[in-house]
Amino acid sequence: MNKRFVSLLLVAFSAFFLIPSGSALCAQELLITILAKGSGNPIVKAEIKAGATIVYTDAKGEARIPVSDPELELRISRPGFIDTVLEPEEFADRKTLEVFLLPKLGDDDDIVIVGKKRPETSKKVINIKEAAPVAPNGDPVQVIKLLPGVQKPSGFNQGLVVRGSGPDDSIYYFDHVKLPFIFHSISNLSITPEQTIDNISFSSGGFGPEFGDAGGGVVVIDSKNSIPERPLNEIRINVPIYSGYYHERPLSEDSAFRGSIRRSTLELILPYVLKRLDADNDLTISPYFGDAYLQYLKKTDDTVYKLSLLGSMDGLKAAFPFDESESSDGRGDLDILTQFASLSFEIERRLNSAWSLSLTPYVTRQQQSINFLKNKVDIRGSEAVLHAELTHRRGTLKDYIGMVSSGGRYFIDVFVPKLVRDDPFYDREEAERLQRSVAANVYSWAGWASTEQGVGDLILTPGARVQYWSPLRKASFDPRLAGRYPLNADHLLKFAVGKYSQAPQPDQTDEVFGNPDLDFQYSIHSILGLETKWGERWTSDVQVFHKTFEEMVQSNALKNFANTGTGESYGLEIFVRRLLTERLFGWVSYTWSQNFVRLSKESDRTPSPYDQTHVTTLVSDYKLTPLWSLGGRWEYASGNRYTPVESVVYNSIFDKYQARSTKSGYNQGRMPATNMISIYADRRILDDRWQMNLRLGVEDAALGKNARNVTYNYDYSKTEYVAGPAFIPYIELKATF
Amino acid sequence: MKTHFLSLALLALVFSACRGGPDERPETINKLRAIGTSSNPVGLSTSEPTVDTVVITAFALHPKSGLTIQVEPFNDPFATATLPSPLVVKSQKSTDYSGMTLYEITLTTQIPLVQVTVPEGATFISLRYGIRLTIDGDQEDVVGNLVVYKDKVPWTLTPAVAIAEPTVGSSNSANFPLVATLNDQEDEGYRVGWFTTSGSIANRRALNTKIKDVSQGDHTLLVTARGLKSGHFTLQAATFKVD
Repeated sequence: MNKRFVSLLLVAFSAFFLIPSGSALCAQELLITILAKGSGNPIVKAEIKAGATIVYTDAKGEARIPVSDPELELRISRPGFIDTVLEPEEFADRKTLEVFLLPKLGDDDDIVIVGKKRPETSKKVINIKEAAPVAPNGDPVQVIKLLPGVQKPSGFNQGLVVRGSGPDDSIYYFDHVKLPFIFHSISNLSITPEQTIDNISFSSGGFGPEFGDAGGGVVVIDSKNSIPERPLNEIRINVPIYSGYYHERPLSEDSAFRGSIRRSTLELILPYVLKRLDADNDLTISPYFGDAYLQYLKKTDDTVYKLSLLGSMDGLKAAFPFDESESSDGRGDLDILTQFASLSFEIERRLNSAWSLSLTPYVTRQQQSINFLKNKVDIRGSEAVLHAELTHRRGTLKDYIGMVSSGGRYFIDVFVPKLVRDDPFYDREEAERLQRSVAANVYSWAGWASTEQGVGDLILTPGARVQYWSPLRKASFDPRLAGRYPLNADHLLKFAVGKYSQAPQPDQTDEVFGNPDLDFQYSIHSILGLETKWGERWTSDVQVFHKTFEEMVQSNALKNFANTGTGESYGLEIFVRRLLTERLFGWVSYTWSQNFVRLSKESDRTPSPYDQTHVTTLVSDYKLTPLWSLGGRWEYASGNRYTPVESVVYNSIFDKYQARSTKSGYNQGRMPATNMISIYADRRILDDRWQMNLRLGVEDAALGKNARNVTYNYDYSKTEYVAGPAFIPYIELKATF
Repeated sequence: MKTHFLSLALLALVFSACRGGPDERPETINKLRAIGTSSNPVGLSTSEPTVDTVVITAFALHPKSGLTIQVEPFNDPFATATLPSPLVVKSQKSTDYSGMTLYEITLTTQIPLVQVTVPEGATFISLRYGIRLTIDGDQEDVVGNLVVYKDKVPWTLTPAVAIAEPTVGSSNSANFPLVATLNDQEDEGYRVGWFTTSGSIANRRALNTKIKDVSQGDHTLLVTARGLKSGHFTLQAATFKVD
């Protein structure tokens, strides 16, 4: 053969086989990509059927399928999505095709969320999927307020009241970073962005030695440890409260970035609403809040690194008529600002199959300032903390040892009425103001250890915690013991007992305004509970608890403060939970408790200010269709306590009426019960690569008085209950793309 | 650090914002209202036991005229120290103004200073007294302090308060400024208190303030002042008209 002819033949041969021919691909094969509608995420292992030919999509959602027969239709199916049939004309003469599948609800047989580890005696773990729909204001962290042991607060304090312990007695963590507070004081929303949360766990008592300086509850928010598959943006507009933006993206196969920013819009709307309600209203008020979060996540085979920055801000500016005002228009000015920021670097490393180490160094900066009439309080502080814990796993049991060390510097500037004991007509209204500036270094250290020991089927967990706090120059020792015993496959008996020490508030140990000779206050917790599984979908948890409070810090005429108070709380909690399935979840929570306090050894025992006999919550969320869900909650609680006015005198020294109550009347009054219902409807609107959620709801519609506090007129001849808003309608629009 | 300050401040905000309507304002004279007490002398001294009888005058207002006020002393159960001898009612006087009557009730008490002991380390002792006033179904329990000093009484000069605006007998609109003057001879500072038979006062604690929504007719304004250090008490009333 001629060499040239052979060469040409070889080239033609190569071209035919090696160079793809468009007309040849189109005629024989279709590259089809199956994506989820609303997100555009690829659907893996979707089945595509063309006659007898069946192919499955890969990790990219792609598959190639021969489509040479012009009469053949394509059938696409995947569990969790609606089956789709494509007619031949929909893909004829096409080389590639994208198909978006709509979600479908399952048969409600499978449990979506399964508890991943044994919780402690009074610990509840709520996944974000359960929390987000039903939580107050759609804020998942607030789901804690719907759990047993948590009481409805009185007044406007946003802290948790747990089993008779006050709002300052609980502690809050975001991963291992301790937060001074968890809710914005304005709006009540949590300061941690919902989109970064994986789990929320709450312990109402009897917690392990890794937590201390608390006698109430422990809230731990676990942030996500997963690398997102693709970038995600979410814009949220909640009328009238706030707007926010969230973004996450994978930076590589093993690293990711997450960021969130939120800012209130209430201050723009509220003044207008107040003026519309009452044109002569001389109250001006401007509440505002905001928060921001940044996270860099990196994962290797044995280590998770998390660099996080969290910031929060709350403020209130107001001017209002006030009897103690010095201005000619009788108005007083109030300006409050609270700011917090933390920068943390968390390292979780699995050293080997049995040992793991967690290290979290972090720094915080905090400021709280209040300007009210002539008075001013400004507290600023910075702190550096190192949290470390070593865990050893022995089969299903574990031991752990840890420590947390912190050092900080605080500055306190106050301009407040000077206490003058040598003035017969002393009145704080007109008293000379005291300017005091204090700088203090505060050091604390805590160490703990705990071990799980199996004694037959009984698992005992003894542990202990030691902590030192420099303002007191003292240390505390807290022994603790917990146990779990399976009675059978469906019933688990559990208990916990322990000592829980708590340091006084920093201002209570100040040399001028406090008492530097205070001691730790502590409580003794005793808990006995029974967990039961009722089939595959229902669980219950019944507990009885008893707490005694010792060395409680109380106001003292001679020393400002002293450890003279004692208290007691006991009660019953019932928690029945319907586990999350495709369509439905919910729970019922009931707490009955009795709470008492004794201000000193000489005082009578009286009800505690946190005494709330009955607290009941019912929550539920139901998906009607993949696009519609309905839900709500009902909350009932006995009214909070207050001290009734027993007599009134006109004090001619101050030109004021003064209410009198005897010590036996302390907290004897009770406000009307709280009875509220909240309902919502949630609609998903799906486009190919983005989706919107429109949520319409009514929050806290009061079925009764919903009293938050008691107020009086100028001479105490009339009493009124300060109620929250009758109900709060809202619209929330969330766009995710 | 905790945010309990914030909750207290918000509580104050709610309380203060709910000052109430016209019938619930502290400056309005719509029932029996005690407005102050004075003592003569204003204070006693154990180092100068020349006076042992004290005259205490209680002042009260009522919107009606022609009524007799019932007076009786009472013991304040919250007092740590009380008068060594009971108060005795001596006389009462009433002065009618437009829309109100001013009552002045005079009581006396004996203070045997040898029986009064100033606590160790203190410079004074406050002796609490109580007076119960009853009229036309209303009752006011009034308390005050009589101060006995270890050394001489530090405050002796009595001030005088006067209403500069509105002038007595003047005609005004429903809204107008209020001005009071005070000669604080010993520079001790005074707490002012305005009262009115009609209208709302912006700041009843200020010497210069304003009043609004006064109804048509004849009315009375009254201003009181009490010394922040001495307990001196003084007052003045002025009638005016709104056309």
